[in-house]
Amino acid sequence: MIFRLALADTLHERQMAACYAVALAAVLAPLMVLYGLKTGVITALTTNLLQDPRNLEIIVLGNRDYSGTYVEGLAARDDVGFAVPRTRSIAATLYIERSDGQGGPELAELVPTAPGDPLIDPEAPPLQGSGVALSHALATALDVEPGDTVRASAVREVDGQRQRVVLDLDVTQVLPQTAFGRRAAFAPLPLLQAVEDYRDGLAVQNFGWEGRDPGDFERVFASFRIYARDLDSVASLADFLTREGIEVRSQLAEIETVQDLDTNLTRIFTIIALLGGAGYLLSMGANLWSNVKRKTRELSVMRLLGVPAAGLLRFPIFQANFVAILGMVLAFGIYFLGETVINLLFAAPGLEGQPVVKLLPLHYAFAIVLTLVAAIVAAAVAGWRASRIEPSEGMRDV
Amino acid sequence: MAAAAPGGELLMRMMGVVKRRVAKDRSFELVVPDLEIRSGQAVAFIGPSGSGKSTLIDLLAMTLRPDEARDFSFFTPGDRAETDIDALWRGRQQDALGRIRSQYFGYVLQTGGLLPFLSVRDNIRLPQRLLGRDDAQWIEVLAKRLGITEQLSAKPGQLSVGQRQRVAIARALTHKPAIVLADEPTASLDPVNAHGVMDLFMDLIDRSGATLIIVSHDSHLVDRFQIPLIEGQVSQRGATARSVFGGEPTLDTDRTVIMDRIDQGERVR
Repeated sequence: MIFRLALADTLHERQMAACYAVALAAVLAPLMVLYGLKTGVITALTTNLLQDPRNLEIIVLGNRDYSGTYVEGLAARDDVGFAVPRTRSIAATLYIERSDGQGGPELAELVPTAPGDPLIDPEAPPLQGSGVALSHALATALDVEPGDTVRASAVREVDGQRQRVVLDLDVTQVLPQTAFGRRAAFAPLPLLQAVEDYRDGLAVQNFGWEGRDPGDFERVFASFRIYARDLDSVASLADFLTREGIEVRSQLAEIETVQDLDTNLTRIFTIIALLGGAGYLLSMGANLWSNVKRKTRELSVMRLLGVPAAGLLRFPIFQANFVAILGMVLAFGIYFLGETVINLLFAAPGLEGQPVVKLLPLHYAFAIVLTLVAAIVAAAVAGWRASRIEPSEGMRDV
Repeated sequence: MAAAAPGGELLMRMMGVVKRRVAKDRSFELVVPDLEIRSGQAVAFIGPSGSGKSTLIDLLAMTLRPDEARDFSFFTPGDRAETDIDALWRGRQQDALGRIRSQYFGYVLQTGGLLPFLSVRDNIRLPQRLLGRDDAQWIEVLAKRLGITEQLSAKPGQLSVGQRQRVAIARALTHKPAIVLADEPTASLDPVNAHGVMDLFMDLIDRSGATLIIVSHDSHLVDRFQIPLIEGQVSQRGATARSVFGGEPTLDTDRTVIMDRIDQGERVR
């Protein structure tokens, strides 16, 4: 009943309601564009950072002896996305050429990989046996593509005698150019271990390579490849490794620049939103208060006819919400227009193809809830005043 | 048409009820020593402007809190359950007073008191809706008798003063109240319109069997319908004006004298 009365009154004074709604849209729409700008730029920068998995990599400098268990322990940490041991660099360097002899040989490094490697396409079949993924640089140099076969050769010198083994490797995928800059073949760890053992003069039974009997020994690794789970984990992981006495390098500075930008833009937006919101709240509150004063006669008659105090309390609150909904529709319309124009006209450097202004569904929901709550708060004082109106106050003036 | 003489069941009782209004340099005191309102009764409170007629009708309508009351009771029509109105005021139970008002009272204001944002039909329907009723047929009957059928979809702003007053009468009767209060119902109308509206009003009151309490300074209008009346006795002591309304409504030969006195009072003012 009160809802219908409030709606009828709002429609009766639709021009005034429209003015209030425009005033709300004038506050809300720029705030939405500003927040959309902040979200769009930060999302694009963050996406860019995430699209390049090298930003998640913590590069371990220098060689030490790490047990396989130690690296497994690292891989199990919450802030680690991927970790795999790597053999000595010198032992993992070999010549690779096309099997048909039409390209190479090229000096390349073998890089250990495993399921979950952020550099490897997760959609491609897992690497096993003699399967390898070539870096873009090596694939280009050899002019090979997935499905081709390449031949790798490792050389060693035993008792002054130069020895050489040849391995046929199946190219299962070629990494994108941005993933890895050097000439490399990503291979399962057992292949690297076999090459390292061969280089050390040991026999490798699985590959039929002759040499000294390896006997029982605990394998140690010279280094490891490690990637943080996400951008926020890079700092904590790098910090942990440093505290472990491991010298590392990361893209932390670049990540922190984006995170600082996000923090600062959020602060600026919050200040502007608070100022704008407070202005809107005061203006809406004052409007509704004067509305109640102006409508004392009508409210007195409603009271005379038996409308309870709670009904009169709800009357301006409903009206404030009608105006808020109308204002939001207007503001959303203005925002969509602004978003379209800005995204068409501007593209931030390095963010091509990504929207400069962007709001997520959660942001729309937040804007709706916040506006309705603000309208209720603004109307509460007026509602309280309306609920105290007595019939004798103004019924004879109607 | 002559209104019914007192004799029905008791609906309201006021004893020792006082309402004071204090302005900067003067004050006014309305005193109701004893007054009873009974069902089927018609009574007019008359007196010159400033005699407290509207204050009295506001007290009766439970829209104004008395400053003193030895007894101020309402008796529910039918079961005659007594409600202490003064206690409800003291307990700040305005919503309870509002419920009594909406169920048992109809009110015709001097200038209509229509809600400008509702159509005529919705204005008339409002008292019904507040009680959870929807008797569209009765609204049509009222509109037809009052000659406002064609205006039912219009907004009050589109009506003449006379039409607005007729809508106000329809709204006061739409929920079939036990008591109809009319505060100078024809004051804003010219004499011809006033007589026309009052004819319709009195006819509907007569048919509905409701109790009518009317306040007017128009002695001729009240006299024309032979409504029993209670005259406010106004006295002045220093800066304080005192008005007393009470006793039984009068229909006897003193009536002409009272009317003359009121007319003279109005002229002096």
